[in-house]
Amino acid sequence: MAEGYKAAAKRALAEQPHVRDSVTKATLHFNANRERAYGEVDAEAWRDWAAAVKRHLLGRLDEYLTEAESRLSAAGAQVHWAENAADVQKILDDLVERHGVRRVVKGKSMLSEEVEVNHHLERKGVEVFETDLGEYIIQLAGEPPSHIVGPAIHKGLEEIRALFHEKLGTRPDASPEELAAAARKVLREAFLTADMGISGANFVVAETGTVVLVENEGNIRLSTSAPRVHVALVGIEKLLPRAADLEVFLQLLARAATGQKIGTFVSLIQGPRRADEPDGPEELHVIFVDNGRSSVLADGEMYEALSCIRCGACLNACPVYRQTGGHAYGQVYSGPIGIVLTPGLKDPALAAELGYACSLCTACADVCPVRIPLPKQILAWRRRSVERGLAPAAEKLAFTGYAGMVTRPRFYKLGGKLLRLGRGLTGAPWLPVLGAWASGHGPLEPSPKSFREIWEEELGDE
Amino acid sequence: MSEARRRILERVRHALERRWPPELPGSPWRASAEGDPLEVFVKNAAASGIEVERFAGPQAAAAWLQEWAAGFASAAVSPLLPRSLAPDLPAAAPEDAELGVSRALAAVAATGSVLLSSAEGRRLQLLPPAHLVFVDESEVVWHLAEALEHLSKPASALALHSGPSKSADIGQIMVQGVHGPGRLVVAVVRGLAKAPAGKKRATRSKRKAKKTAPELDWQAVRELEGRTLRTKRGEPFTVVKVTDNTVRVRVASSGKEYTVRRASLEKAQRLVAAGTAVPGPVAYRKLVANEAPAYAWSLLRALGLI
Repeated sequence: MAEGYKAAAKRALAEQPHVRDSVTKATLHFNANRERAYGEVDAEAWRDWAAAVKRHLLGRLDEYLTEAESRLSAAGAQVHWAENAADVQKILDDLVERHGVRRVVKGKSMLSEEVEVNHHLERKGVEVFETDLGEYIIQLAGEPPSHIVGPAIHKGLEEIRALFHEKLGTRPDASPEELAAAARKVLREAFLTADMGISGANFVVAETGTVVLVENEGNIRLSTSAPRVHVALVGIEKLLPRAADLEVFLQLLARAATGQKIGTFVSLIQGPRRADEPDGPEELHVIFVDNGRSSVLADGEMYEALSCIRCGACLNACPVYRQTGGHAYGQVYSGPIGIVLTPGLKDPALAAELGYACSLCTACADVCPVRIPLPKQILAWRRRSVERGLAPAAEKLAFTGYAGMVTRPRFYKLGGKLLRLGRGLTGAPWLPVLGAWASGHGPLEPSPKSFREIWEEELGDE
Repeated sequence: MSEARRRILERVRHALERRWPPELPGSPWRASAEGDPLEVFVKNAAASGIEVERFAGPQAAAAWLQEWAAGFASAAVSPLLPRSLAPDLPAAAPEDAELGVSRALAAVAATGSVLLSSAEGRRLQLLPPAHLVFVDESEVVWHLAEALEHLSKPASALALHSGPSKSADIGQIMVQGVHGPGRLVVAVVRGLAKAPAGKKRATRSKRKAKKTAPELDWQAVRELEGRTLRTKRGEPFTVVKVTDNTVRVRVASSGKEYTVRRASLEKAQRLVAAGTAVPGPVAYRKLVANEAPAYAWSLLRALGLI
């Protein structure tokens, strides 16, 4: 990460004010849809149930992983294991070599961003097409995704028009339908000529060895059906115990993400093309990827974050995310889940800045479909940063002093008096913590009398 | 990679030591089912942009179909469909057809979805701009979990389709038909399950014929040995040696030698057989392989494949 969250956020707000508008508009839209969709069902019960299934699964992850592996192998899929990005890249290199792969079509996958699939393949001379419309837009723009579900939500219609005009030669005032048609034309050719399709996975059912993919466009179904080879990148936490569990998870994911009853297309992939089938890939490769997940699993305070089903609801609900969009976080995962997962997957030191991209309003916990205790975990990262000495010294001093004062009644009383005497001081920019706080707020205006004084004056005799 | 497997599982087991996993909660939660699932299916499907038609029998459906399908020029039809329900249209490969026609395994009332199987082919469900899906009234179930029992059937992939292809990735404005079909029509027919499926044998034999055709004739390649050919730009080169797996060529002007692998030529052959144009070495390099594309392409031309 070249610059920290604070600097990136400041820059984003100053230099790209339209990002804030686009992101706010999109996330509020997502929020309204989710609220309506949650309201149509007994969402509280669904969320309790789904959270319990995921916690159970994480607690027996080793057993479910081996069960899924044996089911997949039995159905003719080839299962690979990758500890990190380099492992994934090596497995892909071998497949590219073996099958003479020149063109790859990709379905949206956050994990593929984590392990940098596109850059790697492109360096090897393989043409990579992102086929989700949003992903295609940002691939054309040379940017990473800024949202788990809507990778291009930071871009407004005007920006996309200009981009397509430049790259694809569409009219400068093309309608969204014309823009989509232009992308469809390029990508349709790619689907039909690609040698390999790469996807992620929303779920893998251990009981049946089914790779489950959810989408609205049909590009994932095409990427996993048209080319000769399909490779699915699967985070080791993506499992579900039983096929019947999909009943709730498919509906909960769609409701939490976009407010739909279910994703428009759900692929339930169980193996390569069978001899009696007219089409489908000749080979199915499933890569189970760790890339830091086992360390998160070992972390008693953080492991519940591995329940995440990547619906993006916490991003939409987050008032901080809404201001800058995802790019300011400088990481693959942004928003509340990004704050919690990134330091665990990559480097705990990242929490020193990311931990503060949060107002602790707890809106994320209110919407999470699998009840990840995000605010508690963000607070824990902040605590750890302080313990590791990563927090600014002045802040530490100020909070130690504050804690010392408010936990002793006599000092508390004295402090209140001082505050009322020196009311002008609270807006002073040089004060640690308070200064930073005051720069975004009006000065504190303490009441002339404390509650205690009023109590004693008015009710003291009774 | 088995080393990676061992280490990942070891780390996972280590992480889970002294942790007590909660019990797996019992039967998955389900909404209470009241009323007629068919009515609910129709309502939910329509709400997500599916056009639903209902028929009292296969004959009524067939009568409707012939009129309705007249608006299309060609169709790719599922081999699982009764012959009477195949539209009277010229057959086309899914990538060229204007209409794809499927026979669903089931329909789900709660989500307004149809469940499709790869047994009939996946491309015809995805590539044509319009998709017509037949399902029997008795196959409409309440819940996803009931439909998912079909997962035990032998098929490489099942899919739930719950509306036309759509995206709001351009400025939050909903656009239909982005990659998959922009129009999804579900015809619910009473008594469809009893109508005999047809066309299966015909399609299978056609596929077999198609599959054997693209074999590259290696003997023909061997016969090129010793011959002098020209590239697209007129540069002469000689086929020096043909082994079981490679072709070696020597450029006349520079004396340089290049190897073209059999696998690459076979791949090119498959692409051409599937209808992909490979008009020159640039396209060859892009679509097939970056190994001596100018000479490889000329070999294909000499073989009469391009």
